[in-house]
Amino acid sequence: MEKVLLIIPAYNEEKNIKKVLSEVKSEITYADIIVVNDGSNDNTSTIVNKEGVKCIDMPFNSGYSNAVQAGIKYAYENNYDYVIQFDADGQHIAKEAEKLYKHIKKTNCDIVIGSRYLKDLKYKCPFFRKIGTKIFQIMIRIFCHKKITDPLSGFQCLNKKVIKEYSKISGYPEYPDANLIIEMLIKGYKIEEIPSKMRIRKYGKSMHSGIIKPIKYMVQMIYTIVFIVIKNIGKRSGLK
Amino acid sequence: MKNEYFVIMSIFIIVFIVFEVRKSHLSIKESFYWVMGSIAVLILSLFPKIIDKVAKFFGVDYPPSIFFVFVILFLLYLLFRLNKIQALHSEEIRDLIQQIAILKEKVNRKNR
Repeated sequence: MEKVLLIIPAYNEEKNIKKVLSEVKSEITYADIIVVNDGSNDNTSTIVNKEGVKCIDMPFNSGYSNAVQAGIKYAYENNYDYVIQFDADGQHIAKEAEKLYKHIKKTNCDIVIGSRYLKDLKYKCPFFRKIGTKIFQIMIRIFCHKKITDPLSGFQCLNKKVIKEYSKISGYPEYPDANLIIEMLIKGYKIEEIPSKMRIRKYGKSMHSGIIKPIKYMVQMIYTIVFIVIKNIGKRSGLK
Repeated sequence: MKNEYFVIMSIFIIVFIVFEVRKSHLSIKESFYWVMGSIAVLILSLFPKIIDKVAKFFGVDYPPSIFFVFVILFLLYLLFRLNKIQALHSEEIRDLIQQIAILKEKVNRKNR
C-alpha cells in the first residue's frame, strides 16, 4: 500500500481551515493529512487539533515555503511515497487532488501540477498574477523548452524522489514557484500538468496581494531564475 | 590631525577589543579582523611615509586617498563576510525551526 501525505500549510486560516479539513477528510480517504501551522496568531492550531488532524506547529511565523518544506521533511522522515500540496485557504478542491495523485501514479512522472490555464476553466485571476504567469511561462519555455501553463500553482503532487530532493535542499526558495520548476527540469525531473479547477478564496488575504509585494516578487523571481540557469550551466542533464 | 591621535585611537581600539573578548562579548576569531585593522592604522600612524610610498606605487597623486580606498575595501570585505555568515545562520535557523516543529508533533502524538 502506498503512503500518501496531504500537506496543508496554514497561517491565520481559522475562517477557512475547518471547511477545508472536513472536505479533504471526506474526499481524500487514501491519504494522511498534516497541517503545518506557520505560527498563526489565531485559532488555526486549536481547530486543527479539534478536527483530529495531525499538526506541525512551527515555533513562530517563518514563511510559506518554510512551512511547506517542514511538511516535506516530515514526509521524507516518515517514508511517504507521495505528497500532495494543498492550500488552507479553500482554493484547492479535494476531488481535483485525487486527479493529481492518479496521474502521477499512471504516468510515473516526478511532479504533477494542477493547472488553472491548461483548459479554459474560467478561473479569474488578478492582473499581476496574469502578467507573472505569462512571463514565467515564457522563461520556462526559453530555458527548459517545456510548456508549463501554470508555474505559480502550488497545487502539486510529488513523488518519493522529489520528496527526498526537496527535503535536502539547503536554501529552499522563499517562493517555490517557477524557479523551482526550472531547477527541477534542469536536473532532469519529469514535470507534467493536468487541468485543475480552483476556487477563489473567501476569507483573508493572499500572500501576493497589493501592488508593491507582487512587483517585488516578480523582480526577485526573475533574478532567481536567471541565477539558477547560470548556476546550472553545464549540468543541464534533463534538457534536450 | 596629528599622528599621535591616531596612535592613541588605535591603541584604544585594541584595548577595547581585548576587553570585549575577555568579557566574552566577542570571540577571539571575530576579534582578529578588528585587531589587525587597528594594528595597520597604528603602523601607518607611526610610519606615515608608508602611505606616500604606496600611493606612489599605485600612481596616486593625493596619498591620503589611497588610505581611504584601502579602508573602504576592508570595510566592504567585513560587510560581505557578515552577510555571508548571516545567510548561513538564517538557513540553519530555518532548519532548526522545522526540526523542532516535527519533533514537537512526534512528542505530542506519543503523549496522546
